[in-house]
Amino acid sequence: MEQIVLQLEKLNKSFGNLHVLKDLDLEVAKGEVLTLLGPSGCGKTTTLNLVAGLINPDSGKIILRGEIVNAYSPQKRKVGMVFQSWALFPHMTVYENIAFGLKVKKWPKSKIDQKVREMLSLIQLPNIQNKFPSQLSGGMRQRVAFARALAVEPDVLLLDEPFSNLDELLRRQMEVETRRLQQQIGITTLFVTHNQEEALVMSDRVAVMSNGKIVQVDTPLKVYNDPRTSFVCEFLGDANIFEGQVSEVKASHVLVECGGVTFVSSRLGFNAGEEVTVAIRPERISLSRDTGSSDPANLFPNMFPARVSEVVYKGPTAVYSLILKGVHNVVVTEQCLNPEEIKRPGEEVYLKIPPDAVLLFKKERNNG
Amino acid sequence: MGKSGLVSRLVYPTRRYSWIIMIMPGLLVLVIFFLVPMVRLAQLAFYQPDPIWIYKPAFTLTNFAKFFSDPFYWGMIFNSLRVGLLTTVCTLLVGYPIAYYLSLSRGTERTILTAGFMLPLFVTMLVGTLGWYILFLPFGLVQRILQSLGLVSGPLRVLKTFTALVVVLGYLHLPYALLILVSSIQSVPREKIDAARTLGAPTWMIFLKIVLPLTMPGITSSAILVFALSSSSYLVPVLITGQSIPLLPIAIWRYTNETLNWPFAAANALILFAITIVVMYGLILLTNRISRRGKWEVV
Repeated sequence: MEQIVLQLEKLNKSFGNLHVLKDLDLEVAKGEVLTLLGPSGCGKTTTLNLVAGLINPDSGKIILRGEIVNAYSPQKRKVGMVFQSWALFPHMTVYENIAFGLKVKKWPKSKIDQKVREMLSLIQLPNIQNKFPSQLSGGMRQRVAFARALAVEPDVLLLDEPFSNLDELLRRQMEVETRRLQQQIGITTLFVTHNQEEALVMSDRVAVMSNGKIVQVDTPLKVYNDPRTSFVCEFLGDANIFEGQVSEVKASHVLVECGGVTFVSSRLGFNAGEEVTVAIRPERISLSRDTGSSDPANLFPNMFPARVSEVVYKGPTAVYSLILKGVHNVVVTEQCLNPEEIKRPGEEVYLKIPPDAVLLFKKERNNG
Repeated sequence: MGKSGLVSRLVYPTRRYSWIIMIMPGLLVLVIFFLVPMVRLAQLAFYQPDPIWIYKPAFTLTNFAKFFSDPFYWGMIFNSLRVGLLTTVCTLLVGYPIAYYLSLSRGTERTILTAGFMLPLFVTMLVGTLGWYILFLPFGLVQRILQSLGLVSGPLRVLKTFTALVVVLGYLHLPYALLILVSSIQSVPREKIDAARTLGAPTWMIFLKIVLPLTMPGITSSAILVFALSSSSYLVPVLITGQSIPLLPIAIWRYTNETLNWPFAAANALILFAITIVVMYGLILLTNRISRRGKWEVV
């Protein structure tokens, strides 16, 4: 059993009439990166601020290293935090910024010097200690904020969308680098983002939040490929969504009827007649110009003729919009290895969908 | 942009010379009503006084010689400096905590408090000062309160004192300091304070190491304003201390209107002007040094 460093139990928080967190439970194991992912207003930053002690919960427990810390001020919680704005002290040099928390702890000068140097080499910026934050680029500031939070050797590192102020290219670079750094130090990290790709890149586990609740906590692989609700499915990546009804239940698969199209799905646990939401990721659908076999018994289980209505060429991939049975609009993403393979608008093709790619969800009662 | 003419120049101020149009009205007012009189004043300070023509346009340094050779005038400089600096220090010491509280308060509380502290701005200085005058009168309210507490006995001599002058000047100039300080304190991002808290810094340290340095520009500008206003104040010293404390502004008034020695009055005015500038500059240098301003920018 892994050691649990941070534990949240039945946390509730309201701002005025707004119930932001509703009985939130969460456990973060030692050394892992757990990401709180959700749309803005779902309560993820509130959760982070509660852990840091910057705000207090209405009820519930915050347990750090087995100790209830609800009554502790932020100063006493031993958490490091990197803010969205990085919150560097502009009137202090990089050295003074990183040394700030150590001076508070009254470390001797020589030890502080050593630690600051260590931190600067960790973030691979050894020669900037006498610069002021305004003299640094965005990426450098972000790294200094990271170093400042880590210098005090916290038990938990809290990251509040630290990449959102960076441009696209730099952001991707920093995500990978931060992940590398985190693994190098092995610090337990609670990371907040609304960017699904960032969540998948950075995390050991992803907790998808919606309306003050955690909908699903799983590895990136699982939340993406095996989402528990259609909200999780749609929030993490694209999906073709259809509303339908289970028409037949077999031992190994179910049949779902959606406006004239019958999908075969290997997702089980549904009853005949049940209203369901069908979700299919665009990259799980393949297109072909022929049926692949002349024997009807050997035919692919989910194969439907469709007409290409639009093609968006993106270099490594192409995104197609197709009309299925004249009513459904289906989006398909395919790799473009061979230019000959790229379909043209108006072309009649076959959609092939593996049964395990047909995700089924019980109809949600409007809580997405 | 492909547009031309006066209107587009005003709308698109990035054009090369359009800034001239934007600053022209203000510049014109400054030149006519400030620069021209100041040059004239400086000229006058080097003229000879004349009993019939008031001044004779002949260059002389006697006005300054007279001023600097008499310890009475040196005392006047000292008094004016003392009034200005003491009022500035007291106003900031009282004003900063108020501004801090105001910047944290919200809603109705804030509206009421702000209105209360800004009140001196809506009352003319004369009325405001007279209010204090009545309070400070021998056997006035201040005395009655102190007497009932058993702190003093016999007629209280507050009215003509230096302390009273500083109190009234501080009260009247507090709103200016507050206006600047509140906006300055409010511009310190909440996240910076939170960052310091998660790094373990106690509240007093956050104040000294983060809030104070980041609000230093606001402190400097309010200090300059309060110093300039209080060291040059005429009305308040006349009413509160009268002739008992010699001050430059009162002297200037008397030489202008009573003894009609305009060149000497001009010399006094020029000296007051120089003192104010020197103190302001010194203040800026000092606070810039403390906060290392100019090396860093807000991020």
